[in-house]
Amino acid sequence: MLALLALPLTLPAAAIGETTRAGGWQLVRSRTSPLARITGNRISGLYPGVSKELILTLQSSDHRNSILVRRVRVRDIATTNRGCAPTRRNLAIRQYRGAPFRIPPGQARSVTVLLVMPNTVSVACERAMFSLRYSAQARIKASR
Amino acid sequence: MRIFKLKNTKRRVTAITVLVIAGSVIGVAIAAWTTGGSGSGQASAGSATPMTISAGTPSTSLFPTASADVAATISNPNPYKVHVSSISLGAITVDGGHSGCNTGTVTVTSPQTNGGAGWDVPAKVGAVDGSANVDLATAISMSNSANDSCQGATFTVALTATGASSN
Repeated sequence: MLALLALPLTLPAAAIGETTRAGGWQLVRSRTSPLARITGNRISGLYPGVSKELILTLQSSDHRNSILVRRVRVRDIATTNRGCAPTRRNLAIRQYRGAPFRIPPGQARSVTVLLVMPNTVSVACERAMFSLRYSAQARIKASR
Repeated sequence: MRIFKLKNTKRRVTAITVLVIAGSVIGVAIAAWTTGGSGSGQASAGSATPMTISAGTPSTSLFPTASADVAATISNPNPYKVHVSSISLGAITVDGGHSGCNTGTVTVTSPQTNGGAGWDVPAKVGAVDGSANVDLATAISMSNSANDSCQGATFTVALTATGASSN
């Protein structure tokens, strides 16, 4: 019965992505408040055959704990031009494949992702603007 | 009967407890990595700059009943290599000093594809456009009807190249 009583306390914490400490589960963040804000440099002048570095900066929103980032992902989700689909044929993204990394409390860390416009790119993509969505998988790591 | 029911209830409670605990463990395992960061950005594509074709120096001369080559230089101002798959030859004009030449006696063979291989025009490097010299062998002909005013004339042929970026 004690286990049953404890569960309602732990489940909400798990559902919003909490992490554990020595004392058990602790409420620190909700999904509406991500652990890191991700911004990237402006990429312009893409043309067939070119590769350009997209430097992503992950700014930790947690000022008390370090966060451990396991995965960073960039997706092209839309373009401004009809006939220019956000696909690998028009814009390929070489994702960050590095090891998980730690961001100290309130600090930032950068990773590089490569954007490649292949020669298969559609003519319709001339002057197109590709909308990119950045995301990361991270968890709180207790500060020492 | 009652004892049996009690045992059954205990089993159910135990089973539910195990299921709920298992569920919460799975939830923790997923949730530990699902809270992350997010953001958005944009990347913009440039546009192709038209290539230019300028007249070259033909290696052969044109005279009645014969064919000659058409020479040209294709310049590529784009930062990527362009493969020209075909060149179309259009209107023929004669230089001002030979306006009496009956240009209708001069014809072209169009389009030209270099035997299907086309031509590669290198990318612009720094401030220097890439360029390729093109010689369209026997692309222009003169019939035996050409008049004397055509002697010494220079004919200009309109060229249109079709190409695309290439590796």
